[in-house]
Order: sequence, then structure tokens, then C-alpha cells
Amino acid sequence: MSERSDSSEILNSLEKYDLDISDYLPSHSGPKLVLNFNKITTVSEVEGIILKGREIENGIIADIVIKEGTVFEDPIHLCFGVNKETGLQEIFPRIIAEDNSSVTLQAHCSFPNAKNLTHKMFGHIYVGKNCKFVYNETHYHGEQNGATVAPVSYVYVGENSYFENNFFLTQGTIGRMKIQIDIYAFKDSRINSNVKAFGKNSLDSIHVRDAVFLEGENARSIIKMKAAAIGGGEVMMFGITEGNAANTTGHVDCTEIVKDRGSRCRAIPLIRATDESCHITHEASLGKVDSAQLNALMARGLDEDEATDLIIKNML
Amino acid sequence: MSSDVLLSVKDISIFSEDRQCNIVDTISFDVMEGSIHSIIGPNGAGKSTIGYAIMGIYHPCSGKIFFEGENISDLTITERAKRGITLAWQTPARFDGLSVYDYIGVGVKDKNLIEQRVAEALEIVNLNPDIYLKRKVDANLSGGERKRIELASVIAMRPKLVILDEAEAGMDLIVLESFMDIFNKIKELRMTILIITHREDIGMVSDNSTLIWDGKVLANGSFRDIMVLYCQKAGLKKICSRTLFNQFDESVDKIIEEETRENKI
Amino acid sequence: MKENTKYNMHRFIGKQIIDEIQPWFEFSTSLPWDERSPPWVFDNKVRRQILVILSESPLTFEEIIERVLFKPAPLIITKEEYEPKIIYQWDKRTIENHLFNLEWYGLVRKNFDKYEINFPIINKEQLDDVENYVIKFAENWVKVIEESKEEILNKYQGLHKNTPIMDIIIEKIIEKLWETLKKKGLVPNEPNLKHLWGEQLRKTKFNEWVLKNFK
Repeated sequence: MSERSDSSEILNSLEKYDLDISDYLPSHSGPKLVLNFNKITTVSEVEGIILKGREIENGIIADIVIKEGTVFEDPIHLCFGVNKETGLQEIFPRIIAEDNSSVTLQAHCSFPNAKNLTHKMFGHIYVGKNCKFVYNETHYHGEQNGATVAPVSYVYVGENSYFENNFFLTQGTIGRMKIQIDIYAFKDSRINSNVKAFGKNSLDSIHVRDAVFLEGENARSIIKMKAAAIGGGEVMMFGITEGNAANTTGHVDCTEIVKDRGSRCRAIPLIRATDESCHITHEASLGKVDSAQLNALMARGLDEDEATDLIIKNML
Repeated sequence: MSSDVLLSVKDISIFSEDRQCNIVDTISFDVMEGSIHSIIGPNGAGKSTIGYAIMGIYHPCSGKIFFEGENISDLTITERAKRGITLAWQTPARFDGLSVYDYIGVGVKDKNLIEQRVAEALEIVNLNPDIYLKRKVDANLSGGERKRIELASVIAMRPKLVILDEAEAGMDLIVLESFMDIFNKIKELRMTILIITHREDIGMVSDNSTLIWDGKVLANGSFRDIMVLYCQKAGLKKICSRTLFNQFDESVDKIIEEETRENKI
Repeated sequence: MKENTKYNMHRFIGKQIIDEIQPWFEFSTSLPWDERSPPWVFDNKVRRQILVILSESPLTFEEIIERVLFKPAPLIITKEEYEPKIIYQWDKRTIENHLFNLEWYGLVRKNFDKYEINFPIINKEQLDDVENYVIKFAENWVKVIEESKEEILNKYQGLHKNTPIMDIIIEKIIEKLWETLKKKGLVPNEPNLKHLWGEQLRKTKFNEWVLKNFK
């Protein structure tokens, strides 16, 4: 199978989550880095952005630098895919967004044929002052529960910057997944972190740790974690917010729905404060769907399963 | 209004969860097809409980409920909804991520008619479809907007019986004025309405009423008769002295005096 | 406290002084002395970084502030190609909060105007040397286990086939090892001294409390 068709199959799998793959084909004018296993198939830079990758035995090391003052409307695409059924892929990205820049990063990790495939990612994101940085990561792990995926990210968000993280794994199966994202927020920065995951059968297990450390005065954050575990699936979510500076505000919201025998969900919102002027809050709700919501939909003619599916689908 | 009984509630009683007392006790009343029937009573009388029991959310420990002649006492909420009963909630639920369009359209059986019905329903409740269709039924809607969307969802469904549980709660004065229009439009669509309210100005649109007091039916009859009894029971001097419509600006004492003279009471 | 429940049969029979503070939290010092190692303190990279820089030498507060700043650099883009200009600097109040936290957990202490690490540091050379002893001990254990394994597995084959009997035995070996070393006074300078001390103290205090309150 040629490199190009390998890439095409990975890109085609993006259609599973309703994305127009023409956005990712070489003819698209935006900056992109497309990877198939450990081969960089496309690197496309534009003015203001430096993309550099080095292939290593099982993956790549990648640097992405957004230069000071660069404002980019089109998202930067990072496509990390593996077409194979088995193997190990390791990705080491380092992303630096200098002061006064504005950018959206759209990362896709696609493993459409995974049967016994491991993907590890260890990345750093450094956001300067007065920036807007949106990081969207969507995963697709095929339909055979065959992926083991472990991304770890450390993020530093500079003064007066806005950082948004959206991690979605709601299509296809999960396999086994362990995510860690630790975000350090500096003075006057704002963090918005969203994680959505859907474990669909007994071979799906996802553990998420989403932590925000509020290290600068007036820093604010919200972590929203939503998950559903059905068919025996397992979801565990740690939402951590720590206030270490003056007048910081943070909130952790974990919502998990569990349905079907054998399904398990756990949510542990951990909030800590070491400064007397912090205001950190949390809420968590787990278990079956809210009965008020269920009754409302059943009173319109849906049965319980249909109502639950609709609620989960829209929540995620 | 036809002479057929659409809903018949026979001697239903519902205990509290700790089974220490009856929330409602041997409640009976009939709702005629095509009519507007109100359940009136003070707060805590058990009015909403009756509505939830008809919808199947609460299960009476005794008594029966008939709909179109069929005993529906053992049917689930969904089964009752499929037979044509629905309820507009006093405090409607909010849904993360669910659009107004999807929520209103969920009860429409014919999927080809969803778009049309949803738009019509929003217009009936005076919400602009262009603005509201894409919005989500979440915390970003005000209480009044959420109530109107709730009404729209029952209108779009076109059930045979609509139970409106304190539909006026949370509505502003402007919308309250248009309530009459909304009720009339619902009637034009050939739905029977069961209004649960403690407000006499809402209840006055009804053809028949049931007065609930301390979990029991005090009387069934016309709205006017019920109101006289209500005010007498509550020790009120005037009926509807604070209404918007000023239609019943009569002294209770005077009515009672007249009716006593005519040997009606 | 009046009790007329079926659990009466299983309670201690004696006088319970319910106003007595139960000895698993020392209210006088506000220290949770029975708490195990404080993992959440290490959760934060800034606190870890403070410990790392203090492990090199004791520092004043101002020196810590200066040292804690960092400038991220790309992995493969060279300085000649491009040098990003981001600097991260923590403010004084934040570092102060972190130091309070580290002091409270006894990981750092203040010596006049300087902060210093309050636990032993093993450097890389010492660690490599220690590794030799670790290997020696482990190889000896492996030899003994290899000799006995068949006998153990045969003896316990009646247990459920998935019972990790060797895992259980190895854990119990470690417990027994600590106990025996303590008795012989051979316990080394264990890094988790605070945890072990707390554990022992908790047991002693609990026994005393029981004796005092349940005659």
C-alpha cells in the first residue's frame, strides 16, 4: 500500500466525525503537518508559522512555533494517524505561541484499523502573553477496541492569554485510553478545558486527568468533563483545580452518565487552594440520566432508551 | 366541546413517600373532549400531583384512570404519551447541547412535518423561529423563554390531551395577556387542555373546573361556582380583585347572599 | 449516647468519653500526623521545581524567585533558525504560597533567611552506587525464590488458578523485612521516615486512647 493511499485511508476516517476531508488534503492552503505512523507525508508552512518535524524510529518529534504577533484565521492542522493494525507510535510535539498571537490548532489522531496499536504523545504547549490559543483534538480509534492511547500534555498560558482545550473521543470505540493534561495559568489568563468521551462496550476504558494550576493573580479557569459509559464501558475522570495565587477563580464540572449492566464511571473533582483569596468550586454528577430530563422526553413519546440516547448524544 | 368524556379520574389516592399521609385522597373528575378543564386550589393542595399521576410519573395506590375509555392506570409514561397525553412542566428541564428545534420536534410523529410544526409552534408562543431554532435548551435561556419553548413542544406534538402544570409561572405580564390566544389556538388544534393553576385569572378560560383542597376534591363544576366556593373556603372578600382582566370584580359576600337567597348554596 | 440497636452487642462495653478527640488528628498542632506521604504537594511542577533548585543549595526568597523563571525552547529548531522570546515568571505571592505549603509538609525549612530541603538528597553517583546493592539484594532474593517456587506453587495449587500467590508472598517478604530490620536496629535512613513515624505514632496513640477510654 502506497504512502499516499495510507494517508488517504487515515484522512477518510476523519469523515467518521463529520469533517470534510478536503480541508486536510494538500490542496488546502492552511498550514498543516500530516503524519502516517512515523512518516511525515505533508508539511506546509505559511508566513508567521514554523513547522519542523524529525522522524524517529516509532514516530516524530515536531516543533511548531507561531511567531510574535501572528494572527491566523485558518486552523493549523496536525494529522497524526496510523493505518496499521499493530505497532507503537510516539509523538513529541512542542508548540510555542509567542506574545500577541492568535491561532487554532486542530489535531486529529486517527487509528482506523487499530487491533493492538499503541499511541503515546508527550507534548508541551507554551502560550505567551496576550494570546488566543485554541487547541482542538479529536480522536478516532476504529471499531475494534484495539487502540491503547496515552497523550500527556503540559501547557503554560502566559499573562492575559486565553487558552481553550477541546478533547473529543465520541465516535467509534475507545480501546484503552489514559489522558493527562496539566495547565499552568499565569496572571489574568483564562482557561477553558472541555473533555468529552464515550465508552461504548466492555473493552472501552478511559481515564482522564485534567488539571489546572492557577499560578498568577486573577487567573480563571473552567474544566468541563462529560462522559458516558454504556455497554460495560469504564470512564474515570479526575478534574483538578489548584489556586496558588491571589484572586483566582476556578470551577470543575464532571458529568457522567452510566447505562447498562457492568458500566462504570467515576469522577473525582479535586480542588485545592493555597491562597486565602481563591475561589475554587466543583460539581459532579454521575449515574443515570437526570430523571427530570428523562420524564420530559418520555412525556413526548420517546421510550427510556431513546430518551437516554438523545441526551447522551447531545451532551457529548 | 363534545359530550364525550376524554379523561376520567376515578377515586385515585396517592400516599407520600413515607406513607404517613395522603397527598391526594379519592380524587374523581372527568374531562370532556375538546374542553379546557382547570384544577384549582391553593399551594400544596395536590394539584400537580394529580397531573403527574395522569401522566404516569406518580403511581396511585388506589383508584383508576381512564383515557378514551381505556384503563391506563398501569401504562408507562411513554405508553400514555403515545396514546395522546402529554404534560408541560412547571419547571421544565434543561438539556446540555439539545437544540430548541430538536426538543420541540421530539414529539412530532411524522418526521416530514417536524420543520413546519416547530416553526408554527414557536410562532404561537410568540418566539421568533429564526432566532430560537438554533439555540440550545440550556441555562442560557431565561425562565420565561424556557416556559414558552415548553408550551411550543406540546403544541407541536398535537396530543389529544395537554396537561399544563402552572404554565403561567415565570411568564411576564405581556405573555400572560397573550395566554388567552395561546389557549384558543391550542383549542383550534383540537386538543383538550387540563390546566393546573392556583391563579384564578388563568383558570377563568376553562369550561369546567375541579377545586382541590387539602388533597381532596371539594367540588366539580363551572369555574365561577368553583371560585365562589374557593373564596369562601379561603376567607377571601373579593374574587379576582387583583386580576388583569377585572372580569370578576364581585364581592363574595354579595354572591353568597344572592345564591343563598336562590337556595343554590 | 443512648443506643438501643442490634449493634449494642458488638460494641465495647465501657465508658466512652465522647468529648475526647480521637487521636488521628492532632488539633493542637493542626498537623495530620498520621497522613501518609503528601502526594498532592508534588502534583504541581512549580513546587517540584522549587525543591529541585533548593536541592542544589539553600536560597533566599529573592533568589528562589529569580531561579524559578524559565524560557521554553523548541526541541529541534535551532537557535540560528529561530529563538522564541517567551519567559515565564511566577510572582512573589504565588511562590510564597508554594513555600508555605512545602514548609507545612516538612519538605522545606527556613534556616535564618534561607530555605533549604528538609530531606536527604541522593545524587546521581550515590544512586548508581546504591543500585549495585539493590541488584545484589534482588539477585539473592531471586535465587531463594527460584529454589522454593515449585514447592510453594505445588502446595497452594488448590487456590483459584488466578491467585497471584508469588505476588502476595513477595509483598509479605517486604513487610517482614522491615519488621526484622527494625528489630535489629538495621533500618537505613529511609526517605519515607515521616510516613513511617506517623504510622507508628498513630498506632501507639490509638492503643493508649483505647486503654484510657474503654476500661
